[in-house]
Amino acid sequence: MDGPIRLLRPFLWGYFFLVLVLPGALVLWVTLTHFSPQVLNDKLYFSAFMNSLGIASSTALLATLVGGTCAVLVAKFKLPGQKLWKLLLTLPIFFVPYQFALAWSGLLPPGKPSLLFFSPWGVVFVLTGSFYPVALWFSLVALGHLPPEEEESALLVAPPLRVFLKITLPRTGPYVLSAALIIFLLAFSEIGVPTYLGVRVLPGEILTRFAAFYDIPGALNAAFPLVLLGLGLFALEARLLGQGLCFQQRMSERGLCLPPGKFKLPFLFFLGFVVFLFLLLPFGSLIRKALHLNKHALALALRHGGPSLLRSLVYALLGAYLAGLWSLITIYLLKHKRRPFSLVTLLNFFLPPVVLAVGLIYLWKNVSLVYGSAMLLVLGLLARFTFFPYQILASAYAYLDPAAEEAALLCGADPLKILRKILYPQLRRWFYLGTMLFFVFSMNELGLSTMLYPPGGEPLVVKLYTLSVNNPVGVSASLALMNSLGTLALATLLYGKQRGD
Amino acid sequence: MKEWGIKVSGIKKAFGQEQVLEGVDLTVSPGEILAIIGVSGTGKTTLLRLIAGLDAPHAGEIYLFGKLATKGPEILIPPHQRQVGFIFQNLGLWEHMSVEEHLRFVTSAQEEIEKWLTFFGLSAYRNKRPYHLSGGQRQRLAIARALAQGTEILLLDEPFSNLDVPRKKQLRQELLRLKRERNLTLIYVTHDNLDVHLLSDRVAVLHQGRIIQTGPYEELVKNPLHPIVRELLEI
Repeated sequence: MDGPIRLLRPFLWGYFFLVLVLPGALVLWVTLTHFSPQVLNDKLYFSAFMNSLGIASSTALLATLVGGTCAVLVAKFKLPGQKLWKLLLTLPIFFVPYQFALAWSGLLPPGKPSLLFFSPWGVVFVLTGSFYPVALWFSLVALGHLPPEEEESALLVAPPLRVFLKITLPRTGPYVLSAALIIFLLAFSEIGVPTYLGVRVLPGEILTRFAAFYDIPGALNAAFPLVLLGLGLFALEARLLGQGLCFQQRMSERGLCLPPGKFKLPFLFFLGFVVFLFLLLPFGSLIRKALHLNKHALALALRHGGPSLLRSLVYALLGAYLAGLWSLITIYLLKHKRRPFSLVTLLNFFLPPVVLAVGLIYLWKNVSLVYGSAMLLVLGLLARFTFFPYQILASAYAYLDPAAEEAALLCGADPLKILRKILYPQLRRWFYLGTMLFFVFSMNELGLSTMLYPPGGEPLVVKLYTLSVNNPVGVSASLALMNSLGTLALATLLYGKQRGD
Repeated sequence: MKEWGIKVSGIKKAFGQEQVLEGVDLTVSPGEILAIIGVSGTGKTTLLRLIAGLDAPHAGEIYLFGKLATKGPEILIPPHQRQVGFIFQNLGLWEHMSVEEHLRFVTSAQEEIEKWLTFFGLSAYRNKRPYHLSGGQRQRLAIARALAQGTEILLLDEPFSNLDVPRKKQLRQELLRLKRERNLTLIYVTHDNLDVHLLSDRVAVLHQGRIIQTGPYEELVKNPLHPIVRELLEI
């Protein structure tokens, strides 16, 4: 490679080491070498760990069941309004899980707290509603990626149900498992919902220890089981991704598509119930609360919400574009030697966010330019969510015909021109899909944001969390709605760019 | 009616605004090998899919061995009850199953499985998954799978397109052996005149959604009724 493309190399390697490798490596080194087993004797700590484990397992199971079932109904049965169902079923992922807890608590009878809701089961319920779209989309991609001929050759010898059980389901297995792992991780890392519902969980314990004593090695010591679990999940997910999971969605009109027959109404009822339970009901509750605000509370919400929303959008968008750009350049420059890069982005994603945040603070605490500014939070978001654009672009790039690049090279185009004029247009939609996911998850990331935001520079998700403690529910509901609408508006814009070509 | 293995009558099919088949009539006798030729996009694959019952036409009828299988948009006999084998261009093998599991999916009779494994020389590879097989072995597995269900009609969508010359020759010989030993009815789509010449009993030329001429290869070469027939069969 020569010419102007050389200038991109420092960006590539600088980002790789400073953003992706150092924080993760530091966390792993400190956690794994300074572990003291005394922490496990602490009963509160142990119960928090068991709570986290139970919540994450149950959420992964339930959310995968709900999302997977919805995906099968939408993709494999001739039901009316498939696109609308997909959209409605996807929407909960655009909202902070914490706001669903708020919304549901608003639906409970006043003055009579439900013991079932304010328990680990309540957390599981709320998180299932937040994370089932992950399983939905992994399953949809899996079903879309299955060559229709595989199902059709089976349809020639077996009835549709057998084809579904013997061909369709086993072939989508790795994707579904992959989704379950990611949901497990997201649920295990969740702080906002369990804290609001009064359930002790491990990330909350780590955050408390860190916030109370500013004891970084102590916090990392407490994070030991979390890190071990993250590493285990990482190994499993790396294995699944190594099997060549493809994140491109190639929906085909062909293949197995069953007439629902007499099950049409029950299937539609199920989809409608999921949408009602996990979207309309909580969202309606938030709107109702927000509409009942008095002038003073409304002014409070707007005063706090406006600037915070703007900050959130800037942090998330900046991060999304930087991560997308880095992923594109890295994939282009490294061609087929990019497996280690893939693993590093994956490892960072599987490190619990509070732990990653402690690592980032440890790394940058003496560099005031970074530590005292929003840069630290953006670095955190980059470290955690570069996974999305990188994996999606790498997967899409693997499916491109290399002859297109080679032909351009033979036509005398320099590498930078090839990147801009040949590669980027072909990968554009995947670039925006990756940046959109980065953006949405960044907007809703509470763990990292709580620990890394600069003084006076809270993103909206943190403001929502802190203001909900001492203010009327309507204020939190308004902030939650602002966050949702802001996220949705920008995500739609990015999605529009993705569909633009 | 029963003298026809396959009878296709007045078949019309459109994808959106695009009319692909505009009244196709075709008959194939039991044990006959029919080649369908035509320029790309004329609906050759679509016609095979309609015969297999994987898709429904907008109008027309399809009879299989005297039974009405498709009437207009209604599929009367579902694909798995038609006794029709289909060799897809990309074969459609099940990547999560071994060679033997492919056949076991189709039939539970172990003797049948062994018979077809031996017939196609796949016994030594019974535990291999498709991605461990060579191109020729994959092709033979696809045919074995199609035949193990006791199929009487075999539809092949460009079966020779991804094969080298020796493999093509081998596949042609295998198909002729199947016709000879099992009296199979075969319809295949191809772009290669040599395959048409060496394998088919009869050729059907599909052009602009209609069959414009059928007959033995030599007859079509000698007496083409349309310029496109001459163009397609020119060597």
